[in-house]
Amino acid sequence: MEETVEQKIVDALVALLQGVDSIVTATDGRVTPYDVTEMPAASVFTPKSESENAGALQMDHDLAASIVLYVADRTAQRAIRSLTAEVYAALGAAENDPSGPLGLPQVITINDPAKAVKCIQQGDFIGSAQIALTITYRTARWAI
Amino acid sequence: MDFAADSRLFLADSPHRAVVGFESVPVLYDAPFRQAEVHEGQVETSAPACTMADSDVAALVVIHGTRLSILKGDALVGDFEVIGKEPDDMGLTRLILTKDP
Repeated sequence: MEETVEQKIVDALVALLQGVDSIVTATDGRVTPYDVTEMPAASVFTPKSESENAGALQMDHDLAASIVLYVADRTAQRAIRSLTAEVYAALGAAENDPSGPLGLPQVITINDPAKAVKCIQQGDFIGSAQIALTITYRTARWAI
Repeated sequence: MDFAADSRLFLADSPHRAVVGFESVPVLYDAPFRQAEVHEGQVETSAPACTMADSDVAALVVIHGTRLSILKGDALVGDFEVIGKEPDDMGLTRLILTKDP
C-alpha cells in the first residue's frame, strides 16, 4: 500500500495526541465505539480535501482534519476544555517543528482551528470536543 | 389483586432496593446498554434507571440531584444521582440515574 502524505499527516496527529498526558487512547478515524475505560480518547478524521495546482508539477492540498476528543467525567465540560487546551498546546509545539509542521517537510501550515463541544449525560457524563483544522501540504501533481 | 389501586404490588418481588440517606425502599432497577453518536465517533454507556412508588418518592423527598445507592440483596450495585423523574400517573415514578463515582 502506497504511503501518502495525507496518511503521514494523520499518523503524526495520532502520535501527537498519544503524547498528550491526559489522553489514554488515540486512533486514526476509529468508528467503533469507545468505552469509558479507553477515555480520555481522541480520534482523527479527514472528511474533506481541496487541491489546486502549485505550478506545473505540484499541487497544494487543504486537508480538513477533525480531531474528536472524548472524556467520561463528572465535570465533563470542564474536563473537555482542559483537554482541548492541552491539544492546542501540542499543536502549537508541532507547528514550530524545525522539520516542518508536524515534523513533515511537505506540510506548509496548520490553520483555522475551530472547536465544537457536545456533552451527553446518561449512565456516564460524556464530554466531546471536535477540533477542526485545515492542514495545507504540497505534493507532486495527483499525489495526496 | 388490584394493581391499579396499589402500584406497590409491582415492586413486591423486586430484588433491588434504593437507599436514600438511612432509608431503604424497593425499586425495579435496570441499566440497559446505550451507544451514543457524538461528532464523527461513538461512545458506549448505559442508561440506569429505577422505578419507585410515588409515595416513597415523596416520603424520601427524591428530587433532581438526590444521591442514592442501589442494592441487590445485600450487594451494592452502584451509587447514583437522580437526573430525571418520570411519573406515570399510576402511582409509580421512573427515576433516571447517572453514575455517582
